[in-house]
Amino acid sequence: MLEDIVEVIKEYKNDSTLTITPETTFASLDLDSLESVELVMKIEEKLGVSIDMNGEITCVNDVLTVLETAN
Amino acid sequence: MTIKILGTGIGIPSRRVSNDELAHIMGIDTTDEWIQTMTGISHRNICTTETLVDLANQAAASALKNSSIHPTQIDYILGATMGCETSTPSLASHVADHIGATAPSVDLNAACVGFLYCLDYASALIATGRATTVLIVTGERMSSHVDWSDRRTCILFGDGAAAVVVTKGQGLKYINLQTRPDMDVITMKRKMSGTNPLATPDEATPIFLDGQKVFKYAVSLMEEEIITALNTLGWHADEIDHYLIHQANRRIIDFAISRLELSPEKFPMNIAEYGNMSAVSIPALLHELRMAHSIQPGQKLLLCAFGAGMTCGSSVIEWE
Repeated sequence: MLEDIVEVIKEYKNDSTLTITPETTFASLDLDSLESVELVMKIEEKLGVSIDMNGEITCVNDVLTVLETAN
Repeated sequence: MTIKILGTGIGIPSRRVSNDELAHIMGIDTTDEWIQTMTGISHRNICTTETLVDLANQAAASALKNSSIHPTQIDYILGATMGCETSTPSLASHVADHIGATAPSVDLNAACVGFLYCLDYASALIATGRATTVLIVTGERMSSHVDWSDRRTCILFGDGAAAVVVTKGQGLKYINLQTRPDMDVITMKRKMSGTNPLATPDEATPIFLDGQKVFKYAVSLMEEEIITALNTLGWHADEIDHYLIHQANRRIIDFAISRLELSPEKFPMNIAEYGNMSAVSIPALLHELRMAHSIQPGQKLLLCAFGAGMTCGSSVIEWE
């Protein structure tokens, strides 16, 4: 799942050289609040899942946690 | 279906406020660049001496003149607003008073989707023979609903009114309305003016938006509504000449366009000039397009809006 998320982020940022870990924050990727949602929606599309935005999602690990909780 | 749009009109406050001026007046920590990047808004018009009733009256009179319709020919007046200066009488009743009409008058509150709800009601009234000609008046004084010290919300909105006159026709090809109940994404509490000693006093709160949730809802609902409308009609996206989308935030529309792989030039926008005027945004956009002679008979329009509730809807009109 992490690999898919990393792929989406690199595609969204149009930068295949990025180093992405679970600890990577959206802020460190220079994403504003709406770009963060755009990224989340692209991850949803890629994985075919729905990501609940009720909790704060500020980093890759937050996305993983939401997805693991949902499963 | 049973209606066509005869004419349109708008009422916009005279005081125009730029992003820089807004930041200066309010002493808030923001910039023109930040606001434009986050929202696509550069200006908005704000009530100073005008009331919302004034703006609605102006829009209604303008739409009647544009339609060559006399007030006595109006069979029903529908208002779309979250509230005017008086909780009662309704905005629609104020308009009836101003134009000299005696038709039934009532307000609907569906937040930013209000115009589409009124269009649906008008269609039903005309289809059932309860009315031949209906005046729809949308109006919002958003500047009275926001916390002017909160840079997340006070930058977003503008005041205004817009009206349309609809009558019997064949132009309305499709309309769909729905609610995805979520009471916390966009909220505003009004303080009741009574003094009931047995009840806990009300507290008024300015409008609140969870920006990220609104963005996600709006993009998702807009995609769903557009795809469903086209599929229901069996039309291809290219057959639509103009997509009139609720002007909440340019980034919502831009992102939805990119996901749907549609042509941006088919999405006229006026958010840069007016900000988010809630239920007013679509009929105001429609009026501007008509005044610019950008809409021709036979052209197809897809209207789509989303708002607090979360309410949403779409409509397809073939212009007559």
